[in-house]
Amino acid sequence: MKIIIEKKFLLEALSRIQGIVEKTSIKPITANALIKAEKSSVSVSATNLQIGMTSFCENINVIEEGIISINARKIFEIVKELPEKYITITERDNYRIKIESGEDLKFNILGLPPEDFPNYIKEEEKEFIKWEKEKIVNFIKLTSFSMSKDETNPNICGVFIENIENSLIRIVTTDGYRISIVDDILGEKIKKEKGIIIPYKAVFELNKIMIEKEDEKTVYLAISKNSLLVKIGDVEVFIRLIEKQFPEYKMIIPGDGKKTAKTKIEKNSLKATLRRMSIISSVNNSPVIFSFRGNNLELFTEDSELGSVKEKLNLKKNNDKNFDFCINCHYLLDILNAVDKDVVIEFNTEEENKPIVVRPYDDEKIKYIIMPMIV
Amino acid sequence: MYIAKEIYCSLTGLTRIVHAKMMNNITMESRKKPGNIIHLDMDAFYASVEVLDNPSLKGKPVIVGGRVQRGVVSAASYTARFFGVHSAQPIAVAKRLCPDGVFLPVRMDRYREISRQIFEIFHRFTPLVEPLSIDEAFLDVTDSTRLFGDPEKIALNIKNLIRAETGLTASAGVAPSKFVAKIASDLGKPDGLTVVSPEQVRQFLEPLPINLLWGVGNKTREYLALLSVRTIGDLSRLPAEILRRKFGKHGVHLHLLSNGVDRRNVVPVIKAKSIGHEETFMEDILDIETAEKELLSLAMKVAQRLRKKGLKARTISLKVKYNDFTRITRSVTLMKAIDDGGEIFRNSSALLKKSDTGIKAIRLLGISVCLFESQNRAKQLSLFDQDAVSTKKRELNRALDFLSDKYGPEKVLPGTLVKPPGQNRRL
Repeated sequence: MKIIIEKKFLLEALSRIQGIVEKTSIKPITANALIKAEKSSVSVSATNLQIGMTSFCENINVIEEGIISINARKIFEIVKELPEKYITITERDNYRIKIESGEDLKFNILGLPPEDFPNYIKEEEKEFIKWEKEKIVNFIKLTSFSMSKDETNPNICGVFIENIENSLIRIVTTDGYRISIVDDILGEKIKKEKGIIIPYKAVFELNKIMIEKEDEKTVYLAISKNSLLVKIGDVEVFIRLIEKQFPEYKMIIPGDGKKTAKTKIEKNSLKATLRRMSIISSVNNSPVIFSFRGNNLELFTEDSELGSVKEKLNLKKNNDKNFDFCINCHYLLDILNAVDKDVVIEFNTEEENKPIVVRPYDDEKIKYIIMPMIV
Repeated sequence: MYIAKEIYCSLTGLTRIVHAKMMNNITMESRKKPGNIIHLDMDAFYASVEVLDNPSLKGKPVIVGGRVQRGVVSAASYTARFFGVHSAQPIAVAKRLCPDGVFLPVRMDRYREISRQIFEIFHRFTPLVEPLSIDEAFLDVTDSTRLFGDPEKIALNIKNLIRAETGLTASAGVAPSKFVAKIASDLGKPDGLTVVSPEQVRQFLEPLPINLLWGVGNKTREYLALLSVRTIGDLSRLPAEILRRKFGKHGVHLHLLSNGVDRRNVVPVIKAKSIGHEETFMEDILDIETAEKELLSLAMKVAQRLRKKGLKARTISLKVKYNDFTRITRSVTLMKAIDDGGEIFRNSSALLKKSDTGIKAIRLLGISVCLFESQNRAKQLSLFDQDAVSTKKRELNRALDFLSDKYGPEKVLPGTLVKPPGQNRRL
């Protein structure tokens, strides 16, 4: 293989894969990048066996076709430091790779046999559906904070996506203590009855690429039995789905009833208050007590070693009934950071220890459920 | 300290017996005005415990360590020391010096059990107990004298109680400061009681080699040798300014120590910051399956200790030492505090997957937990009904703890840890 490629293109492709290549040497090949030159196109791939990624660069000066496999981190570092606009990469014998920048600078790097590189993209599944990119990015912003990262419960370590009625797509994330549910029309329905779970690491990688690819409007998805292929512009991401049963979350969603009190709270003042609360509560994960008293909401938290904080918020509406509950205030702060409207808090005034529902004001498509703490 | 004592003997040209007598003298003279810090140190602790549990070993050269600690002596009985065996010596050397020695593996759980008994005795006399190791502690008895008599009487009482309740002997040093008390107890071993009164401190320190001072290593000793400073007495006569210029703050500290001034207080340990268990393996572990088994066993132990203390922990750390002696630690902090062995195992085995297990051979695995929450704290409720499961688990753990209290540890084990008869891989 011999190519002459503009540094900018190669650097972009290499920086994209840094998030997925393995740092530890479980399998050396998963720390490598595969660079393939064919006709006038060059592709850069990497995989950690859970996520695979390929970026295509078109209209490249390919002098000789071929494939090389080289440590992804090192080649990224090398390319970053090269002084010239164009880079020449030449494959030599015994998997040795020469990287040149101008006349005076040559790196000689040892590669690995490219045959060992796992071929992660299965050719059979190429039936793509189209989704609006901006909407997906917004979905992720609204839900990703409540994904579990506790790999001892793999079935919740990601986003759950399913079709619901009226061509709506629903995204659900949970960590076992709170749940985020967002419904919207994204585009075509997914061709999988039971829905899919995309692992959280893949969600973050996809999000990065979608934000990076400003000009792309559409994302293409092909779902197969246990994997998902996503195309965003000239980048392909292959994701191994979590093949577990997502919890039966629908039973948890509290219905409207006489026992439910709804209170609208202004977003910014609640956020500021909770940030003050969290100075104390975050030390030992103490609960924040919400006490609804007439048209006031009193918040209080204490830490046995540090001290306490108390604040009163004025509500526009008068509550007929006094009611208290305790929650981890970070759960509510995460919601306030994700939504851009005032929020409505709904809670059961008859029974204790019931889930608390938080929604953006005037928006039925977004719903958050938080389990309280018992003191 | 054992080696230091030998140097002391050869330096002063005294045989062990004469030296012991001299120590006796100091003890006699100092009765007038004793100090108020006691340093207590068990005599050849591991080896003595082994003799205690198997009296037929009495008087035999017992050497503990070796296989588990990778060829290093952890403790040697006094009979074994007579042959020149000492701690930290390679086991091969010990075997050559003492071919008829009884070589035994380390039984940390048993030593810990006795250690608890001993520290419980210390705490009867003062809350100011600063543990230095499993069998060694400083006690500040300044405020205990009205209740229990003078420090020497307290030290004697403690020694007698240890002998009566555990069958083991300890050596005690009584002095006005920590470091003098420690030197005193070391020089009186075994079964010694050495009292150094405030007036006696200088006389006591005078002939001792300077490396007995805390903070004097080879470099310092070499430098001081150039100034013909060999004993603590020599050092005390050196102007403080010289030491300050050469060693800065540390030099001033040395000057004070050599003059018998040690203002450090006894710092009691109030609560544990973390609870952990680790195991060095007889043979390196090569596969994940075996590593996970060991991890499960460690997790069960850690969980049991947590429950005994009525604590739950949120941070789980895994330590892996490979056979090339490189070491990694990985940890995870959970939303919910846990005290169940299975949960600790699941979290630590997820961490194990982030290590090079299966690629590099492992010689040591350890689990430690921290960030405790006591059980009466606020509890985060779960969305999915996991509370019923956790109630069941809690009841199971209570039953397991009861069984292990009654019949001893490791009598009831998870199925995967039950070894076929005759197979005992771990020591």
